[in-house]
Formats: sequence, C-alpha cells, structure tokens
Amino acid sequence: MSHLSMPMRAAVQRLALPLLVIVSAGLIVLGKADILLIERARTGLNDALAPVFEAIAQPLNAAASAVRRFQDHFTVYDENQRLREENARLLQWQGVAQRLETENQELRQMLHFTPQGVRGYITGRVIANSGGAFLRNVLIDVGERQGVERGQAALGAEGVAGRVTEVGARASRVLLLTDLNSRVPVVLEDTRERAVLAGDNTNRPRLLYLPEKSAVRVGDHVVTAGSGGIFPPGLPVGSVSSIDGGMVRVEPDAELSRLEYVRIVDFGLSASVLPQSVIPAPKPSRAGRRTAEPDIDARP
Amino acid sequence: MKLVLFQRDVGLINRLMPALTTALCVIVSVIPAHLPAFTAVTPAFALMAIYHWTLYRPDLLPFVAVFAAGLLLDMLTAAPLGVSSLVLLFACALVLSQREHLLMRRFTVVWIGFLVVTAASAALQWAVVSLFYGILLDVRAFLFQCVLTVATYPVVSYLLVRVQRNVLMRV
Repeated sequence: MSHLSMPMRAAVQRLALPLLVIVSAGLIVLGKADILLIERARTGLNDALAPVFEAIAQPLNAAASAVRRFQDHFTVYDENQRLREENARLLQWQGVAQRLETENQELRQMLHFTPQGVRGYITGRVIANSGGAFLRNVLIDVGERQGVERGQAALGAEGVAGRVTEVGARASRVLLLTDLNSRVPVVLEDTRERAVLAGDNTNRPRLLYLPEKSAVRVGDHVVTAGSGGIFPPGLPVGSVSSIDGGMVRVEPDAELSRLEYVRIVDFGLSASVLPQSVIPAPKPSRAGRRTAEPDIDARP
Repeated sequence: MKLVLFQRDVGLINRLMPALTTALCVIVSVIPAHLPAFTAVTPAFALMAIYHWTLYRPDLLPFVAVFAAGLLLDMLTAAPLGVSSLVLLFACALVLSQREHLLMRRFTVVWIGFLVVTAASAALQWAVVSLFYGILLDVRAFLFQCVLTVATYPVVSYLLVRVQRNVLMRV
C-alpha cells in the first residue's frame, strides 16, 4: 500500500473497519449453518499447527513438571504412605476382578453371549485447549493416521472426558463434557434411571430428562448409557454433586481442567448403525499407539 | 545493492513485528498450561497485544491484521467463526477513540484503560455468544477471564515494550 498517498491510505483504513465488522458479523451468521467448509479449514489449520503447538508446549511441560517435582519433595513421605495403602487396596480389587472375570466368561459361555468388545485404545496428548470463557474443548495429537474417528469417546485418567468432534490427519478435537454443546446419554448406576448429561459451561454439567419421581441422591454414580450409539455402555462419567430443585449436577470423574492425556476408545460403534452384513471385521492392530488392552500410557 | 535489499527485508520483518507478536499471543492463549493451579480459563493474550499495538503503533497493526488474529483464534478454539474478530475489532476501535487520553501517561492509567477495554470486550463477547446460542450464558466465566486478563497484562505489556524498544525504534 506504500504507493498510496497518505489521505488515500487513511480513507482505506477508515473504510476497512466497518467493512471488516460486517464481514465478521456475516461469518457469525454463516457459522450458524455449520458449514462443512469451515470445519475443513479448521481441521486443516489444526493439522498444520500441531507441530508448532508441540514445539511451544515442550518447554512449558518441562517447567510444569519441574514445579511439580519441587512440590513433590515436600509431600513424598505422605504420598508414599498413601500409595502403599492404595496398593494394598488395589491388590484386593485385583483378586476380585480376576475372580469376576472368570465367572463372567463362564456365564457368557453358558449364554452364548457375544460381547461388544472394545477394539482398542488410542492414546493422545493434549496439545491445545480452548481456554476461552465459553468453550470447553481440547486438541489432541492423534488423528486419522492413528485411527481416530469422529464420534469416538475420549477418556481421561478417571472417566469419560468427552467426544471426538473433528478429526484431522494428525490432530483431533475433543468436545469436553462441560461444553455447552455436549450431550451424553447416561444412566444412574444404582437405580438404572436414564438421563442426558448436558454441559452448560460450568464445571459441573447438568442431568436432563430424569424421570419425574427420580430417586437420585447426592453421590450417586453416573455411567454412560450406551444408547444413541456413540459411547460404549458403562464407562464411568461422574457422580451427582448437588440436587437443587429440578437441577441435578454431576461432578465429572475426569479432571477436565487439567487433562494431559486422553484415551480414545475404539469401540467400533460407528459401524453399529449399519446392518450386520456391512460391519467390517475388526482391523488388525496398526502400529503406533493402538493397544489391545487399556494402557496407562502407550507412548514410548 | 545487496545491502539495501537486506536492510529493506529487515525493515519489513520489523514492520511485521506487531502482527507477528499478536499471532504469537493467539497461539499462546491455546497452549495448555499444565500448571497445578491453572484452570480451564486462560487470559485473553490476543487482546493484550492488540491493545498495546493499537495504543503505541496503530500504523503497524492494520484492521485487517486484527481481523485475521480473531479468525485464527476462532479457528483454533472452534468458536463460532467471526466472534473474536468482531470483539477484537471493537476493542481496537475503542482504543483508537480514547488514544489521546491514554498515550504518554503513567502505566497505571494505561492499565485502567486496559481494564475498561477488557470489560467492554467481554460484555460484547458475552452478548454475541449468548445471541448465537440463544441462551443466556453464565457470566462468571467471562468475569473470571477478565480478572485473569487484567492481572496478567503488566507482564505481557513489559515483554511487548521490550520488543517495541529493541526492534521498532528504527521503523
């Protein structure tokens, strides 16, 4: 623009503001229509910027772990004590689980039950988060190449974190349970009452569509219902934290504000809407982060 | 001849500094800080860069750059496209209109100016997003982000002033 004269340039600048405001407003209205092109552009950009995010995140992660290591020095004794106790408790549970597993298998054989097995897990690291005042989603560093598909469930360390909404070649977006647009069919573990867990931008999503005379109590555990064909049934979601009139809120099990890794559950459900004959056989496990068993962290 | 070309290139890079630092602020705002005490909400770094450059070097940060920064932010956070552009352009216009009251003043005055701009931008953002989704959003998250943004401003401002002094003196 250097060839333009000063007054000309000022005029262009003056015109630019209202023009760009109109374009912005137009884009917002267009966005209401969920245009595929916008989503394509977004996944493309995410793919392109994924290496940049990882490069920036590296020193930050190092700093964070340094802080944590420093803090750990002061708590190492208590932590050790706690872990010993937890270990003893978990060993007991392991025994119980093994016994139940055997029993389960026997019962299944008797019933000729074919389980809808989980095909595998894909572990991804969180490389970006929305961080804004009204969005709750994260970007993870696995995508189509690792076998991630749209609609798959994403687990945090303790429970369901959200659902995959956008998949690029090497980065995908996970919509967290707390996001405004998140709706997950759930069931109360004890009473088997069905409901929908709806995010509303607070840390504790709400339970919608509970039966009128529901026996829900604070502390009740909530798991995925498996209806709607998105999530496998029985994944831990959270526990009821408050009941205020008709407003039932759930504290998610997963620590959503501090997610570092998520596991994408490959349940093969995206195929379940198709007739039986069209369902492809489970793919042989690909190289990379896909593992047959739940893993803590499959990264090298 | 070569030297002249080289100087021109350096000049170009220097001129792009405001836009580049703004883009960097956008990227930083989506990098997850895995710090123990950090919550889901991060400060609006892009707003800080735009406030700073619009105040001190509006000639080097055209509206188109502000618009692009907003688009980038919306793309990266999967926000409704255009919301951040609109909010940042509004902030930019607000700063320009109050520029003579803020220029060459003590830092406290500049900081209070930033507080006002942040609050106004957050209010606009809340209104636009609420309208977009058709529900009244919880105000607390927006308030919290405002507080966080205003509290972090001095640090970012210090860094941007350093960039301005070291790189932009000759432009």
